[in-house]
Amino acid sequence: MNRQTLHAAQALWLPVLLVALWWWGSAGSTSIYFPPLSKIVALTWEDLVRGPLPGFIAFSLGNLAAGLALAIVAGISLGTVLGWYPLALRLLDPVLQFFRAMPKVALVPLFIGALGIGALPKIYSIALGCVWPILLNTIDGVRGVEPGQLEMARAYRIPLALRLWRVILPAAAPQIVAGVRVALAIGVVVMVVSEIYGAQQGVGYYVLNASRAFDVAQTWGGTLLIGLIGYLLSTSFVIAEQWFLRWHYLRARVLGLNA
Amino acid sequence: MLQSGAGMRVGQLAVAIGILALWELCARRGWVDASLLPPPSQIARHVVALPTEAEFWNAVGSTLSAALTGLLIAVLVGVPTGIAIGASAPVYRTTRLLVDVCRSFPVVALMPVLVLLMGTTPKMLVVVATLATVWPILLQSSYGARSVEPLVSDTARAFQIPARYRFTHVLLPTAAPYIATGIRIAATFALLVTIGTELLSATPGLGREIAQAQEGANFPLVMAYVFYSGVLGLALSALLSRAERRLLAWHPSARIAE
Repeated sequence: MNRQTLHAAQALWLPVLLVALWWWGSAGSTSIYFPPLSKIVALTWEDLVRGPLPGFIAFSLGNLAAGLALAIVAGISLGTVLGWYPLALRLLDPVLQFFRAMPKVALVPLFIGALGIGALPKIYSIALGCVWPILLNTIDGVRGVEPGQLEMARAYRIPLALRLWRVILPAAAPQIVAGVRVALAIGVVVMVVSEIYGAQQGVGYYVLNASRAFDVAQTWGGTLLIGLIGYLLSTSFVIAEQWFLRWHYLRARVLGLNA
Repeated sequence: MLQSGAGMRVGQLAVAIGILALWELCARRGWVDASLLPPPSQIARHVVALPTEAEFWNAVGSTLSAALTGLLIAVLVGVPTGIAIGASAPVYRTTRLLVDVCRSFPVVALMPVLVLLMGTTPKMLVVVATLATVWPILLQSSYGARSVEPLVSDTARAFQIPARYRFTHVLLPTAAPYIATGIRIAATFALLVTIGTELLSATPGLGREIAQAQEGANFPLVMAYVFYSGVLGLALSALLSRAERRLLAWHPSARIAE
């Protein structure tokens, strides 16, 4: 057995054991609140194959993607401007700090109340929740570009657009990506909240609807499904990040820096 | 964040007032939906009036007590578990996937299940707050324990220091700044999740007040509650940073920072 398989086995045995324990332990369960795991999985699978779940998942993920995209565009462009003009940043700092501290889930009712229970208010809520870590990290990233690089670019009279695209944004990229990673986790939470508060589709709506109908197995199943989606999203983001920033990690390794 | 003289303070105030004035103008003229952005003057009236009402303080009290109780349980469970996980490489590898899955779980999704199990009670809120905050604290504690220098841990092993003392004299002090950061992040998160759960499940607290104001179409009141939720979060994290500086004054990282 090589080292990699050993590590994989080390990482996997405990989760597998816990799931197996849950499966066998709940097998004969007659409790209303803790249905057998086999039943939860069977019913959820049924809804996945023949039921409404694929459409719901597409709805939820579509809102998340749109909201996150909006937040990325707004956060990076505003963050670059504020990182570039220290005076503007200093003047706006108290306002930014306050908005960042506001609990964004508390604004979900306002959005849904004003704009209805369709997709748009959910996208806005997600965007508003996601924009802050991206904005603040972009500001920090842009401010952290090495002065030497900037002076070099200026000395060679590289036009501003090119300087922005080839010097500043790449230098700030690791920090921006870290901000997007935080934003993704927030986005999933806001997505679920907005669907539980008021929706007619989506995975959050599925869970709420099941619990209202007292379908305990579906409630558990939907909850586990959301957990799985959350985990898959964060794992695939880390993989995408490794690929997107491969030049950064490579450079850090060559220079012996901490990536 | 940046240096700020008296002139900068005036400038910052002017910008804040300018934004509020612009917002007021937009709301008055009907350029934005008043149910989405009610005019600041109306919000201000509620912000001033709320602290004179007993109902407001009851809501603040139940939200804070649920969030802080959950945080306390998360600290008591998360710190020792996290240190134990971080102190041993095989244990760290074994639990990593499990911790990753649990950490990325959006806790609000558990709300319907928990309401079925426990009803809309303060106890349910405490469970939600605990589940939401135990992972960042556990993770930070394990990072902290992993940051013990090999020389130090080898020395402790060579002198056959008992596990109990290794925990209190080597692992805990080294991990302390990491743990403090974890608790600070978790505190604002506890507040956020508690308010979100109250909002969705109509459990007494700030979140339910927001939901009720929204149902009564009193949008400025919604914003006033949102404002106070933000103030509460800022106050809590400021308090914790102060406590952190005070309690960790002995730590090298605090000395370097000064």
